[in-house]
Amino acid sequence: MHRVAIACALVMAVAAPARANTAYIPPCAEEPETKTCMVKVEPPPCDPAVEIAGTPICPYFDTAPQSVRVVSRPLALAAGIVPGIVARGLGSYLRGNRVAAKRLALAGGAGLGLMLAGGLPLGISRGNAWTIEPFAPMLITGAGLFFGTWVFDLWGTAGGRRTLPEPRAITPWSLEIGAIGHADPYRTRLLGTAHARVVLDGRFEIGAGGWFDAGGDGQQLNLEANVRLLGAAPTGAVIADGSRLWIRTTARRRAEAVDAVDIWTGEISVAGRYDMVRLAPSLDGAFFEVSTGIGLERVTYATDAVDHGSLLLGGFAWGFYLRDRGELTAFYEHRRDQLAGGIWAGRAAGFIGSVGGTLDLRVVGPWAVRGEIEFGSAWVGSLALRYQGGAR
Amino acid sequence: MRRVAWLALVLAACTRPADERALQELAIGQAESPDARVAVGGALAAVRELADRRLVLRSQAPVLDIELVVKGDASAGEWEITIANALPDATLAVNGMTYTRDPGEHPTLARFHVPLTPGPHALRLAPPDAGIEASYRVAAMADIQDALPEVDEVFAAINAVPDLRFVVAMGDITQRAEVEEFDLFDQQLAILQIPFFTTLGNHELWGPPERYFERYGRASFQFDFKGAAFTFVDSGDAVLDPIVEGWLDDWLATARDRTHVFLTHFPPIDPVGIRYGAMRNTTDAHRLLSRLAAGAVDLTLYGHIHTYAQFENAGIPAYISGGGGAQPMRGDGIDRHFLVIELGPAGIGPVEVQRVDD
Repeated sequence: MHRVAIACALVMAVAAPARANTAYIPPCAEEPETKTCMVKVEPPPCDPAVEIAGTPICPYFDTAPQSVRVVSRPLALAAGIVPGIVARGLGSYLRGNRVAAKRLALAGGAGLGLMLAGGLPLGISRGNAWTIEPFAPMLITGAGLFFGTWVFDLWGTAGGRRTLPEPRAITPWSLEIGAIGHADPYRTRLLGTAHARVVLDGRFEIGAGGWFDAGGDGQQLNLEANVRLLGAAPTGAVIADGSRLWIRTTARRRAEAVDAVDIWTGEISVAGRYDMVRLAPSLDGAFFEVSTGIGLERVTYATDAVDHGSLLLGGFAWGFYLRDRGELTAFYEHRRDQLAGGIWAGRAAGFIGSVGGTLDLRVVGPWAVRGEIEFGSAWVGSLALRYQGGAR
Repeated sequence: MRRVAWLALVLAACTRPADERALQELAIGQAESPDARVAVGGALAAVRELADRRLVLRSQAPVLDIELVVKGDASAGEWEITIANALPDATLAVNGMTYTRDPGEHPTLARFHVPLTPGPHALRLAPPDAGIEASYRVAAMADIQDALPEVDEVFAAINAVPDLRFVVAMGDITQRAEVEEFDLFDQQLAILQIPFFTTLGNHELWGPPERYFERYGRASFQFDFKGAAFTFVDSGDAVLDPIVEGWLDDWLATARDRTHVFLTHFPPIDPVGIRYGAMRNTTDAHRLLSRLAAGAVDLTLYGHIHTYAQFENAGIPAYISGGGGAQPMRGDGIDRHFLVIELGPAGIGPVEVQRVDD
């Protein structure tokens, strides 16, 4: 209980107006970096407005311009880190971005609610098979949202939108070759990769790709068919909003000669991206991704024995646009059948998937590079060169 | 360059948390004092004491072959040899001469007084029928954890099943690997009238693994009894360390032509795939199953999931029996339970579920 009291006191000390301090707080000539000053805040335009009985109702909490005290960026960032990990949106609030602060707090609360709504049935039932769907996906999505709001608050507080993010639509087609370094306790190997994809009719995407072991001990082939439900047409052009929703299907075959197994997988998932600028302008440049799905697996062993199983697909990512040049993401992947496997999570060993980061960067013209590192029960690092169509 | 090498080492360690633990196991089953030197074949016992003409072992197998070297005349004379967790009908043969145990002790505590001269001595703890290949029955269980205070009820239920030779367990005997928990487990074991051979689970790793090793011996080991082999492996971190995989390859080759039971805590594959209550990399899991199938393993036993499940993996009959009492799964129709397995040189016989709670 005393820890809660200390935390509350800390929050109040940072967030509360300095009532006892009667010193003059100057207006901000421009956005302050190291000074505390007053700034006039205009609510964002209502787009689109919700109408009730002919009266537009803007879905914001503060509808009138107001002068707010804006704390210096370093101090706001520190508050956003701790105690912002508990008080979601605190950094944005202290920077005068009240709309962002309140929406981040609500989103964080929604994420926490999803975690509880998903985690409690799983915990109470002790993992009964009937509780895995839909509660495990709820838990994963909720975790991504709950912790993501903390990350996005820091982005907004740090002034991430000053990087002038310009999201791009997916390109209409691309060809990619690369290499994967795979290191686990049993082997270290270099794999070659290739991938090709094309979007047909602006909405249907087909692709093929895979990896192969230079020593011939393993290979994987993927065939993909995806449908764009929402989001910008795949032109590769700069767009205002990178939000999108796709249904993805994949047929995969993986053969590992050393392990003497041949694995076929069929899977379907829903994957979405939400640009945080839709939540608040100060969060421009950040995006949240989440996916969920299911797969079926058929494993054949050298003895001709066959196992059938199911896979729970899911994960989330927090990403940031690098102007119009690319994207940087940090991700969590729940599946265990990929090269990385699941993290050694101590007491939670077996229940946690893998984590990683991806950098996707346009280099010049149609050329781009993609680098990724992933950590689970193995380290997986990849580097690929991509030639892509669409706007330059 | 040195920094890069150090970073690579740290990163590699993150994917291999069990290598040090596996190496620690190599020291188990042997000890040396000013009086004597002892080595247990297959490291199938923990040496708890070797001093003042006393040898105390905690057995992990129904049959032990022990080499005891008495150093010098000062150490010769009558030795007290105590072996905990022994079969009730086990006797001790010393250089071919058989000794019966002291009367009045617990059925699984075998204490012998044996005259030993300076030099090496071959000791063998075994029941009279050890060399006869015939069918017998064992119990199997896992996942006691926070139900330690009530596990005596499970042990009493095991005692009520006739003709069981010993219990094999798939780990998670404690909740947090606290010393007090291990003490309580040892107290509760006094209820059980037959020995309890176990590997460790992830909960035994909530504390230093030495707490487990010093009391019970190895977590990865193999023994053979009456024509059937039992192989236990440490999967406490939800994978097998490459060192343990190497041991397993040797054990699979050794037991290829015998009835072979494989036991580990984590199932390689969860029969409810989407739950992921299994090893943390399905690639490694498939590789393990591929090995087991190629090694002609006859039965696989797992814990970790607090329920009962019967299925096949890589064509091998598999059972999950996590019914030791720890936070049982709800809505699965079963609470505390254990398995009764009949086996012998001809193969695996019936596997029955014995419920403790109606």
